[in-house]
Amino acid sequence: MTLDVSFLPQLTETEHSALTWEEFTVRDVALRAPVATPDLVTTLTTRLRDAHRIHLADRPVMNIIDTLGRVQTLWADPAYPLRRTAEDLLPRLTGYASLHVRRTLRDYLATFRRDRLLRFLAQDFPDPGVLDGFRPSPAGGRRRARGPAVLTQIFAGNVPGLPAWDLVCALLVKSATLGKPASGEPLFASLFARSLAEVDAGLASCLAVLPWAGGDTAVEAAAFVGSDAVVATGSRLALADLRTRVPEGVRLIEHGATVSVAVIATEALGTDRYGETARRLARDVAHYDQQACLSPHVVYIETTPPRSGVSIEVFAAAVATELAAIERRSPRARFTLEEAAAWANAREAAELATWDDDTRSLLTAGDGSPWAVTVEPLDTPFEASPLGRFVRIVPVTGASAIEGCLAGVRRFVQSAGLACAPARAEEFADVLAASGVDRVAALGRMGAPAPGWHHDGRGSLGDLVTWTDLEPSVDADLDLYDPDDRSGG
Amino acid sequence: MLGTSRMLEGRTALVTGSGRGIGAAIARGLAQHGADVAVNYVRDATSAERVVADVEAAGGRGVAIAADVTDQEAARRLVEEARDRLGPLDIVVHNALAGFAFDPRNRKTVWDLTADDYASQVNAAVGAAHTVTQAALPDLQAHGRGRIVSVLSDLIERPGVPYPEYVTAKSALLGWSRSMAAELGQVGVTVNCVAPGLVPSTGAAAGTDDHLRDSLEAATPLRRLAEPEDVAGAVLAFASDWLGFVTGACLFVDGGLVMR
Repeated sequence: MTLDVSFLPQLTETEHSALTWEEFTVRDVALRAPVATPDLVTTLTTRLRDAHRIHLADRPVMNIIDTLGRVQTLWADPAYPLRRTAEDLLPRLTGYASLHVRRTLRDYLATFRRDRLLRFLAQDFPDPGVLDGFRPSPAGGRRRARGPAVLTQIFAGNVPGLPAWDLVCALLVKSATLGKPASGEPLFASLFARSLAEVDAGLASCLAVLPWAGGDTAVEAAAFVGSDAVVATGSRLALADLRTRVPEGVRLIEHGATVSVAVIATEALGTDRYGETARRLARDVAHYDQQACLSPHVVYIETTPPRSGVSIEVFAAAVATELAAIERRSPRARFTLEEAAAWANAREAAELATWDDDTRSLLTAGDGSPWAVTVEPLDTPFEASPLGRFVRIVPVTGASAIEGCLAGVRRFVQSAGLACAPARAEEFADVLAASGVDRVAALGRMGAPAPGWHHDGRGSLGDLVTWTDLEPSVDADLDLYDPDDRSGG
Repeated sequence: MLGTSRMLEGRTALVTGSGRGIGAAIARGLAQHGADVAVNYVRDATSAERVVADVEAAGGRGVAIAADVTDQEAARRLVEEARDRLGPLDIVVHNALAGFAFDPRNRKTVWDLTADDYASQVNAAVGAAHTVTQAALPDLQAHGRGRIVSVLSDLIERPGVPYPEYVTAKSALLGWSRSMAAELGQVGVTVNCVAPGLVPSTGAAAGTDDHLRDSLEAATPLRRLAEPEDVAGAVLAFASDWLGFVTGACLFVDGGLVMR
């Protein structure tokens, strides 16, 4: 049976059955969805605007949190049928190993727990009441925040399940969403919307999920014109194109591809610690085969004397051993032809470079290796990994050298995984912040951002809203018009 | 992963409990190195037939034989049928596990166990090994190249999660195996044991949670958990001529978690 990946509760049964349907397969999974047309999209944005007015605009934010918390409770049950569907189909759709998908999905779903959503909300809105009405402002006067009534969201496909988070963000700021799932992972957005419908059909009617071919200008023109803002995740190229097509007055919130790195202090290479450090690094490298922006391309290892512990070559071998072990239980996803070519090129370049340079080395499992570890010369400028479990180790003269290494990617660098003594964390964090890094996590935890993190350095929720200020003068000067006539004094 | 050779050509093996999991990997491994293999199973005939197909694809003769080896009569019939259909046995692998699931959250503790729980596990493990071995001895002792290998568990040395009745039975099988090594050396049969660590891909380990897997991996020098092929490799070594002068040994196949 082919699975419907659309979610269109805004349509009547008659309208629904009048749609033209299209079947398609992603890897070996047969899926179906209605053919997107400008007319259909216009109907959806209009209905979403109605649903927003009826079910969302005046709903207290705490009610939304409670509802989403109940949805999370459904997903927290390993036997929940939609979770079973996700665990079965996501590995087949994306090629990622079942074990990896199951475990990361489980941890990811836990971030929607009610208590974590509250924390997430508080990160951007210390007084969440501003989403419900005017509240006292620290600067005097009162203020309230409003999300766009209707959002078009173009979801990312690099990490299974990610769109659920975008849907949650939109609902928390009371925005209805027309979502376009990615072609590589078209499933989870609709699954999540269905689970919300089980708990609260009214709130779910503020979500529509409809796939269309990215860059379909007619469909996207209809979507953008019917929206108050567009949230888009994609390649730099796709975003640049989008920028020219989003109409004046409609806000575009972009999340382009970013790169991440890891930083390992000399103390993390101690003879009693390096094995665990290698294990954590390998875990981050293998997280969705580095496709998630959160995994390190390059690892900077401090070589400041006095050094103790193992050499960088020994550490590289330990990382390689861990990657080989991970391959046994969670094999790397199959490459597309382009990915395979890029990987082979990067590997060949690394191998050639070792021939006349003793400071370089390359560790692989031979031909067709599903992972690669390189050791590069001291303070080498950032060079991107072809992804797919390919990590470069760069020794650095000291923490301060990292800024120079990252100079070329200052605007694109996102997360850094850090392994150092607690007392030195700020020293490294300062250098990383100056280098453009917007998130520092413990090594081994790079793939699991904390709830409330500033995605790409910005407030995930704060980015969506606009503010209305009721200035102090309103309270102070409008007494003049009080019929009770207190103006005279 | 285990390669192919003609090392075991002309030899006939019986692997108890080889319809799936570790036993299936052992059966395939033996076939890939030239042996004919009797695949014993209890319930899942379809799965056992798949293993037989793999054995035949590797160039060996294979038969699937249903028998619960804890039933003495069935165990004797199993050996007879294997002999009838494939010829005299050279290699016997005691791999069958008698109705036991590794589930740390639903295990029996000392507060719940009864003496009968121990008796049934010990009878199942040692009783089955004894009956099958006794029935096969006329073949094994005839050629001077008889091989008996028993599959135990590294829990006998490091009961990270205590399953008392299971560990007791496997420890008993080690004692049985050493006694057999002493007894049967005189008739040219080697008797050895393989003690795997947790093999998470098997049905019996389905209850093992991620936390336990992670902590075992972290403690294991070779940084991963065992796979059925790892265990099969060790069984192949004992079945081959390479380890023909080793008997009464127990080889831990757990990536170095237990070292002895």
